[in-house]
Amino acid sequence: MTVPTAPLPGVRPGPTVSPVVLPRAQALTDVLVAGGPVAGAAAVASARRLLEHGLAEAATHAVDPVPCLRIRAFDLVRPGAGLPDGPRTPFRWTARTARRRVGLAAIRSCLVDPGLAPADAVARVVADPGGPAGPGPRGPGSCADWLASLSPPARAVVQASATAWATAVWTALEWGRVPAPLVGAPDRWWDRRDGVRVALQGRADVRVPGPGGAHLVVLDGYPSSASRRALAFGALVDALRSEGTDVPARVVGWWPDCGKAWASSIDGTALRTCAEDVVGVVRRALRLPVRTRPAASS
Amino acid sequence: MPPSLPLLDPTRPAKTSVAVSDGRTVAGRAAPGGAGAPGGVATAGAAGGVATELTGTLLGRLRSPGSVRPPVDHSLAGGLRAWLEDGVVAVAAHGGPALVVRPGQDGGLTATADEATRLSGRALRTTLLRTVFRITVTSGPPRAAFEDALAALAVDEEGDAVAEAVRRLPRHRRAQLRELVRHAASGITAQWGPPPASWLPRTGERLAAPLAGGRVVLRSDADLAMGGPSAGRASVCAVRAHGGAVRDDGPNRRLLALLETLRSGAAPFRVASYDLDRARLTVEDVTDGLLSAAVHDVLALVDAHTRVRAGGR
Repeated sequence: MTVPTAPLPGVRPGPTVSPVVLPRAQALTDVLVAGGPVAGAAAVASARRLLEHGLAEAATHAVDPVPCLRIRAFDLVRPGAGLPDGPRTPFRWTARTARRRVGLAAIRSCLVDPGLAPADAVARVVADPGGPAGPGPRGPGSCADWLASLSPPARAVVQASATAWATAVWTALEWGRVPAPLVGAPDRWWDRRDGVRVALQGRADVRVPGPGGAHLVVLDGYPSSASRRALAFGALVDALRSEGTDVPARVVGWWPDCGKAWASSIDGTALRTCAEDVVGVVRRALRLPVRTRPAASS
Repeated sequence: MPPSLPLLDPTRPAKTSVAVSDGRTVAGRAAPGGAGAPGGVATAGAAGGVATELTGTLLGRLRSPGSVRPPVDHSLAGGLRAWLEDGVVAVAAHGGPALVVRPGQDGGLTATADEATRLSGRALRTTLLRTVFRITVTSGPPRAAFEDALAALAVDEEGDAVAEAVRRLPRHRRAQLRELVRHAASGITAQWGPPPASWLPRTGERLAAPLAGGRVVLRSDADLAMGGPSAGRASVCAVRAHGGAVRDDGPNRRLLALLETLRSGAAPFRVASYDLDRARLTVEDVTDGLLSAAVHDVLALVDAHTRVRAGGR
């Protein structure tokens, strides 16, 4: 696991994950539970002002009627995806899109019964998707209903995909050292209805609650500079909706495909940079010119 | 080359590599046909010997629970990465899309400027058989291999393309494909089953290593991987499944070993190739020599590609 040393604009690297320490789970857990300074109310208020000002300005210049824009961290990485002017792929459940939901349910089972292997835990989830250990509430369009509707071979592939994901996450941390982890807690939202209507959807796979807490975000592929900056997005949503009372000290992005981890400290600069990125996404969606960020100042 | 790596000629067998000096190709069923027959059992390699094993030994052969695992060289992964980064620096100087190095369908590595895969007739059969393999090691043998593989692929990202390719086949070709898959699947399901959950088995594991800031990306998949993260000794073994047209899957096996080493910081102790059509498993112990050969494979391919790119300007 490696953390690049070159600074990114607006991103202050967190504690380093040593590339030579084995087991890796120890190093990643060290970073996740290390604590650290938390962005104060003033820093959160500053990021909020920046975001609201940017959104209000965008609304002023928008020519077309502005729909409600749902923005996720993913949209900061690939601007345009999922937005009104971007490539739109309707969501559908597949083995790939369901593996996280099923995998997180399995990890919750493993936390209750640490003797349970991820493969067995996933098999239980898949066998009874509507049960108490299932991937979420049932209902039209839900993962649970979709799973229940599958043929045995299709279910086997979902099970296989979720097992690979859950095993990677389960073995990535020393769970006994993570205080009261919230695994796969519901996404958190912050929305604004004046001017440009936006809904920010913050997601973390594991949340370490409390002051000095942290988020672990599991990501596909390998990191780019944009994906590293987007790590702060979930923290920004937490900061905005809690008025600064529930902000993680850091967000750890982990890319199991390549074994890289990136820890980003959430300070005022990180929140403001992320707020700027959100405004940039909105301006792109409204076909307005996007300001380029000045050189790194962090 | 980083000083931590031994100077090895990848074209020569490494003394400590079982695979090169005593490579083993095994299959789970004892077959009268011996080494060359489908489902046969062979030990191939420099010695070229032949051995017979009994049904159900493939998993044991892969993991060898009682065997001693080599200690991890903590500087190896960093050394290999530095070696690769040095070797691909010329690519970074060129423009154009990122170069993706991945397993090719003929057993050798391939370098392309995009991540898309093409679904030829041969690749179609291999995709269906890999799905049969995946179902088998996850939940047991499928009931009807061809139909179940298609049903399973319906929830996969590439499922639509596979279903469309199958639908477009003339009726007799489709029947032929169905029979080929059914026949090969009988070999797969006779040899494999779900490994114990305590071995942490997983399928379809993707591995990637971005180099030169993402200008070059190494990619591979493990059709089956077992063993938890290393705590100081090699702990993982990985299998790549391939179609029968592949003569030598060695380069792909080596790439898999290299990628696992780069991402986890610890070399796997064993990698294997499974020929889905012939139901044959080739097992190779991972050594410094094998990993050095993998780096040479990658750099030779990247170098050739860079020269072609440069010449095309």
